[in-house]
Amino acid sequence: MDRASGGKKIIYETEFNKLCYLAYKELEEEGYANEVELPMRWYQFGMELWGQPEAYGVIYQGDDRGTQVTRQTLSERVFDVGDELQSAIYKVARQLAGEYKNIYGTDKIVDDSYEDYAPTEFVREYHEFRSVFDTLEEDQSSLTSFVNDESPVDHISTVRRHMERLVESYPRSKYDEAYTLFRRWDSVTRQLAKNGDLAAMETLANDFWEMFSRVELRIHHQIDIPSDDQADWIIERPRHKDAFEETLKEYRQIALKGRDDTGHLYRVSASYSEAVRNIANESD
Amino acid sequence: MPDISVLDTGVLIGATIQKDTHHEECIEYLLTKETCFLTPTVEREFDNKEEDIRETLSDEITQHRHDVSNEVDNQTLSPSTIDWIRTNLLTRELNSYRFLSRYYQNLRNEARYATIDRLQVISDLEEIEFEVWQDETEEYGGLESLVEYWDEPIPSYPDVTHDLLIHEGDDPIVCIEAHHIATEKPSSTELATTNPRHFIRQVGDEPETREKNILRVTNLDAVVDQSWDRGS
Repeated sequence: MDRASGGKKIIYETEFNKLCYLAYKELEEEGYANEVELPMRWYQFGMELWGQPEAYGVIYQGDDRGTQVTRQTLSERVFDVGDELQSAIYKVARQLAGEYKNIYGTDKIVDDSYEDYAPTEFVREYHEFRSVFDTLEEDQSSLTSFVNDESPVDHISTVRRHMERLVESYPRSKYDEAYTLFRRWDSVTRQLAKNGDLAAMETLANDFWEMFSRVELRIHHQIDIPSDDQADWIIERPRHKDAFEETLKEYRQIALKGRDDTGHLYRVSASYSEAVRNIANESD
Repeated sequence: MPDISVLDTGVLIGATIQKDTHHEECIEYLLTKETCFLTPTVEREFDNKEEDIRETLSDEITQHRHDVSNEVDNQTLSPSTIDWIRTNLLTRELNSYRFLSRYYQNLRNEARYATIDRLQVISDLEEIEFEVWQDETEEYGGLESLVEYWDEPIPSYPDVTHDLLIHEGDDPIVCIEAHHIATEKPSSTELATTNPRHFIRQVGDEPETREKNILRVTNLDAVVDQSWDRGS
């Protein structure tokens, strides 16, 4: 990539991870999956390399935009693979470098990797759902310039469309461990959307996805991860679930406080609440 | 009718959670009684159970909403689709059965003269599952304004304990605490429950009903059933 862009392109960690995965998928198609041995796991923003960067001949350095990836000078020994695989790697590297050398920012490569390789429909739908916050933020800022009162902007119709797709695509038998938390997150998120609390909704969504990545994604969708690491991730599951359960409780309270009482469902409660109110009035 | 009441945990839960099966009967009861006492055991049990119960109800309704999302394709719901949901997606075992069934009954009536949108049902269910988390007693000034906490020491009554037939969980302790309040207070006192199986009916080959037994061996003047299907 460095060579293809004439040294102009800076690669960031997210893009590096995606490039490695796209390269792996190309090599897999060519029949080299068993020889590549590149440990990767699906985490919050897609597939990522697992292990120390030095093992892959790169250095990570933070800058104001993210984590920059620079290559180390590598000895020929690092490329001690068969001639056939080596030429396949060169071919894929040239192909991807050509494809992405003039694309700056990580949106396209992230979208491409989800579009082509998201491990389940649910993961692809969640990636779509994430984009809803940008849309809602734009809507909110354009609306507030016209609306003077302090009433919250109702986001539920936009959010509900995405949430319904998430509900319909959730593969319960595969992601059973996190299902209860998904259900509860869904419930709280819809209420926050009704309250117009975009900031809380977004933070909670990030927390949910972090938990989901730890409890389900990295365990179900990984390549060549050492079995000890996999065992550790399974042992850690209850801790991550408990932590998110506590987070959910906090956000449920926020949602309850922000709830508009006039939104109560009279169709359900009217029949007996009315009787109860009459009694309350009589006893005054 | 006794002036003083001692509440079993189920009555307290019923009063505070609108979507509890016994809510209607329990809140009505609390609002009509002059004095309702909470014993230390009931207070502790309530603290332990309240969140679990709200969680169970809310989970059930969210699961039901997910089932509707996954199983019902029609964008508008006809009376026959509503019947299908009631028959296939609700079971009597659900704690939320009573009010969900009532909701669909009302919806079915409405469907005879109006179009019922599937998304409206989803939205209604979202509201119901969240209402479960509301404390219904807040509308009447909060639990503190409806009940009194009994915080004086309660001695043991070994003879009464020995003669009581009720033995399940903390139920005998609640009976003893209610007996103590009835002993201390000059007014007549009753014990209110939503669990007639433990507190009122005859169980197995026991020689008398639980109600008769409690009234015979304690100083309580009545045991009242506040469950929604009392008498059935």
